[in-house]
Amino acid sequence: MSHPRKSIDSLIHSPVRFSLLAALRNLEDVDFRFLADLLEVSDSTLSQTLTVLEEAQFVTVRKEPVGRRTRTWVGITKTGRDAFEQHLATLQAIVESGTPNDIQEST
Amino acid sequence: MSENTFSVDDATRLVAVGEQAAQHARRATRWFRAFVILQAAYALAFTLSIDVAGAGYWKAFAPFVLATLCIWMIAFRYRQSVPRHGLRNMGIAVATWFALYTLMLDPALQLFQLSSPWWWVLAGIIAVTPIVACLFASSRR
Repeated sequence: MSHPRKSIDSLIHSPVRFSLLAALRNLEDVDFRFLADLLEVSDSTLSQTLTVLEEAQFVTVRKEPVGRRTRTWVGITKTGRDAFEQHLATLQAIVESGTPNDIQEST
Repeated sequence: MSENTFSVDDATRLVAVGEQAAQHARRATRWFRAFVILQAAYALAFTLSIDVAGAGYWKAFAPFVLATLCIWMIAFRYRQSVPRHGLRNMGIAVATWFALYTLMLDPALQLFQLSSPWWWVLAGIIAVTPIVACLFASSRR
């Protein structure tokens, strides 16, 4: 049986992407600005993160005109939720698998 | 984080980060549920105070409008964390409640001369359902 480490999704693994999906997992579509404040990241960082996740079809990004401005709504897709839950299960499996030395490898 | 240096500690930390992020997100958005429940409670209290407790219309209407204005101002202040279509749907729901009770249920009960207060309680509960429906995410899809 392969080590759970090998099931880690490198796309989700980055701290910002991971936190973003964790936050979105239990929410409906939320405002871009709200997400940026919640995750304490800059607009450009969030924008880049969303682009990556949207290409992977993990999130949906909708732009809606509100007066003269555009409001951006972000939501998680079923694919994104499933991938995140799988990733979380993998991390939990690693946590339960033993001591830190068990999974450290030398190059 | 390289695969070769990923440890149980890293995994533990990430799981904790994930839980914390989810908890923050839930905490930052749960006020909307309280807003919906308060609005529904105010609306029901308004109709019950007039038709069951026998309060004067304007005496009941003024505090209702004041309380509603207060919670809407708070909601508007935190509008960034409102779910998509949340405020729009609440506006439609409050208008529907008012029209449903004032134009349909109240005249219908008077027309059929139903004098039991329970009919008015039932009418109030039915009228308030469009507001309560805003609690559910499916109402915004």
